[in-house]
Amino acid sequence: MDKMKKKKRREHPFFYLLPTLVILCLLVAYPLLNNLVNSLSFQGIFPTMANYQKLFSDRYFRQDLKNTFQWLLYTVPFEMLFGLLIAILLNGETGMKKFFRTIFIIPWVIPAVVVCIIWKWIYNADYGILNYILQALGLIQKNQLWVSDPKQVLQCIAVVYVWKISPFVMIMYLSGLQSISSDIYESARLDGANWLQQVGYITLPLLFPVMRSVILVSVIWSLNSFVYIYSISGGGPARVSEIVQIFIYKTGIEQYNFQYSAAAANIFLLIVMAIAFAYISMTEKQDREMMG
Amino acid sequence: MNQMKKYVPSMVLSLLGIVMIFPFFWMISCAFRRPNELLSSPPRMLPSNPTIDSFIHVLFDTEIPRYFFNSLAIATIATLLCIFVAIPAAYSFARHQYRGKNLVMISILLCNMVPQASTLVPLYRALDQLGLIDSYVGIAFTHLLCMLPFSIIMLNGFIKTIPKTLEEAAMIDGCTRLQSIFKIIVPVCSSGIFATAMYAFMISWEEFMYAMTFSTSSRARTISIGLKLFSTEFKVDWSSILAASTLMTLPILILFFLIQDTFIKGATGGALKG
Amino acid sequence: MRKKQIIRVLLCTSMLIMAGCGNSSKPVETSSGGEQAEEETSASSGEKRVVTIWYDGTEEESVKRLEPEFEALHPDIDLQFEIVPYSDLSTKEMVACQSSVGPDVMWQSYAWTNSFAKMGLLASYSSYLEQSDAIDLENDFDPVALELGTVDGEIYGLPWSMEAMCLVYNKDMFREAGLDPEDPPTNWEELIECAKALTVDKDGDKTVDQYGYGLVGNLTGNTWFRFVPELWSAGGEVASEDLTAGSLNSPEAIETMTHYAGLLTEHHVAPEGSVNNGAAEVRTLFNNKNVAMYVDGQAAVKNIQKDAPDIDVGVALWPGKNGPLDAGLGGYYIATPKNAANPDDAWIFIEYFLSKEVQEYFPIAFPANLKARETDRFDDEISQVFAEQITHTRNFQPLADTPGAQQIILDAVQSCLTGMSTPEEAMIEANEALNQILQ
Repeated sequence: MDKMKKKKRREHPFFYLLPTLVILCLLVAYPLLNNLVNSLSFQGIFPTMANYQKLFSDRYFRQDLKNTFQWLLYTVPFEMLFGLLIAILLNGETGMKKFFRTIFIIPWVIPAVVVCIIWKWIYNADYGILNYILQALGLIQKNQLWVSDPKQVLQCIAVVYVWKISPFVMIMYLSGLQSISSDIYESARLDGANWLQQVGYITLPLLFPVMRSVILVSVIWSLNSFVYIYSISGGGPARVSEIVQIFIYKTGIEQYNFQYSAAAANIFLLIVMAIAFAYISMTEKQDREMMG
Repeated sequence: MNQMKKYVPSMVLSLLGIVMIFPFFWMISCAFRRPNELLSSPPRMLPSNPTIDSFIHVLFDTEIPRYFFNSLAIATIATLLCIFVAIPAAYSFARHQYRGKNLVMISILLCNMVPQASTLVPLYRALDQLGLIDSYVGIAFTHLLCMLPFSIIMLNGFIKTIPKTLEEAAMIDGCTRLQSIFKIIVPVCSSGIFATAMYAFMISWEEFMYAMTFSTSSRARTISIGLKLFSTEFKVDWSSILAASTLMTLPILILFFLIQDTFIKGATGGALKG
Repeated sequence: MRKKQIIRVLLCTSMLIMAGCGNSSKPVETSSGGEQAEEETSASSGEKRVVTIWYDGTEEESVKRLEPEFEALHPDIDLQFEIVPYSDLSTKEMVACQSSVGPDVMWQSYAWTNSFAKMGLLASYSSYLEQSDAIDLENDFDPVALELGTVDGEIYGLPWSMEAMCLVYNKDMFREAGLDPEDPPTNWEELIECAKALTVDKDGDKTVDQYGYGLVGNLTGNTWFRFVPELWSAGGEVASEDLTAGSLNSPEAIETMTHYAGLLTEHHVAPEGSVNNGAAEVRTLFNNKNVAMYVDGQAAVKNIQKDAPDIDVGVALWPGKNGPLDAGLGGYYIATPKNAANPDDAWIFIEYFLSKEVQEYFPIAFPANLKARETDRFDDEISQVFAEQITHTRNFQPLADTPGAQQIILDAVQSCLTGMSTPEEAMIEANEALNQILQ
């Protein structure tokens, strides 16, 4: 017992984290510090809160925050549902498993830049194939504007995003499902559990740790996903589909206003940090309860 | 009734599959068109007279093949490094209990959220000091910023699905903890690790901003930059872009098709009973 | 044990911080990556000195000719041309100028040079110019083109290519619509009439297959270059003369917006999805014969002739409110970052580059060196029209925050095109936003 304890002490958790922490510190320590100093400078004055004050009265920033959370709502839940559905179906006894798995992975191998180019032309209000197909199927009467319509632009881009990311969710769940032995399902089936009960009482609980990670990663990615909106609508029309990441990029890189952009980035970082912290603490408890 | 049940999943999958595959099909269909036949009214599903000109152009007149191998090298280096570093970290988060763990985890995760705009100048200076501008290692290293947090979180989830009893048994048999990671966790988790590695690979593969800023010549330029080079201010060469992306996606798809069994089925050895 | 590990992490972190900050104290000695070694040895062993040039790849053909010719004349200098995608050129230049490593010479669009110079990121050419025999700015260069490169009397950038946009149209479509292809529209009224005749539903399925006018309603720069000249033609301007207050709420500005957005919202002669069409998309629509007219530059027309050889392209002076308008002057500058490793050799290159001999073949558009325009390269009909348009050009106002102003114009155009606001509302709101950034 004593020996065990000693061993444990030598293998302090820090030892395992060291390589990661070194690499990440190397990469972000200076940028973060730089960001902080930048955000506190305004027209040659330092330190000052002017950038932050300006930010809170900037109606676009507030609108972008709202858009960001809307975007989150349009993407993450659908990704989860869609990915889980495909994973469960693929895990079941179907023929051509390998074929389907490859089909569903396709969106993942197309680079984001190209995804945006393809979808932009598919969505084109005048010559896009989507309007054509839907009209041919009789689902719509006249051409829809899709991404040119301020009322549905964000939803339309969310479809692209869900299409591109759900293979990730699918593959992750599928890998998680691999570690659940088929014996459990068999004994459940013997006990008379139907398919839904099996999913509800076996699959989901056993997938919980993976699901927890997938949701966390999805939320972070979704908040961070700027390429899709930027390349398809540019945040328009008239900035209605702009999310905070685009705000930061536009003010910083396009308009050379690094200080203002740094302030926006810091605020956003704080908000995301709070969300992530709440989420991890909440699920950690649940996790421990489930794992016993 | 039983017969019906058997076919329902396949049918649903086929339907969803068509939706998933359509944009890919559309990309390939457009890659075979001439630049002035991309759009027509009404749109055509298939090119009216297909041509492989853009493929020939991309393969032989541009440096795309070279960029492809650059990307491959950078993504491979980055993925190997990332997984190797992420496994112990994920293990620690899954198994050790200490105060402030969540905070450390969040901090790692948030490295992903630091806006690239503010990392460019500092990283550029640092890489220059180390002589790593325009090199595979330099670009791969910056990609870790996006890949590591993701990999750690995902692997953490996978490791948690493994019952602790497995390693405990191994440790009683005289394994150290580190040994038990590589002897027990890695094999049991192989499908999760593979899935994570795949995605980490793709993050590096399609990353643009860092690759663009930290490469200065075709020596380390990646394929996502190569795609952008088809559009200048006065010309966007859609058909070459689509041809190039068809060429860059197909090898990966084929590779995935061939190796998926080794990894995904390999883990179902049934070592686990929940 | 634990403490040691913490210390190690801290050490590594501080290394990076030092790497980040320390560099700025000795800016001249470093150069990017592998070239550094080459360059340092060159001084001692008589090897080549490197001049690095960043450009966007448009003139790749001409570069292939220039490089060996220059190196034959200057065997001690090695030119390294590096292509950067145009969409990211300014970002990359901005990063390079702020760190101490970067190119010796870089291509810039007119607006960037002005912003970069005001931020103090560029090296001044004034002292070189005083001693130079090869470059005679006063006599050889178009004075309008020089304006934006000069800040506080110092010259930070030199123009080499000049471009003004014209109306580009498909002559066959004109014939099909019963219009005279040799008599293109010359003012707003004629443009609208023409565009209405060219907007047709060919197959009778009640959706339009061909639009008369390709409106640009996306991307800040693209929209700015197409909207502001229209504003000038109506007698308006973006800001007051001293650049301290916006004048976007003037009746002229509202009238311009009514015309611009009206092409879609009132007359329906532009594609419904115009808010998603940048110049590249409209050009593609033109190539695919979905749009009959639009506004674009000389290099773009050259590409259309190559990509869509079956289109009979016509070019006319850009129709403004009451006749041909003054286009906004566009093109390329050449500039050197303040921290360039090798400014002296860069200047040798620039002198050569701006000479009559090189400029005669190099730019796709018109060279800013007036002497170099006297070649037979510009004798064709289309170039003649562009040549005339170039005599009707203006510079955009050198606003303190041009990218910000461009965003404001884009927002106004998009909110009118989508019907989110009327031209009056949009322009009043735009002017308020503009006033804020001009303060």
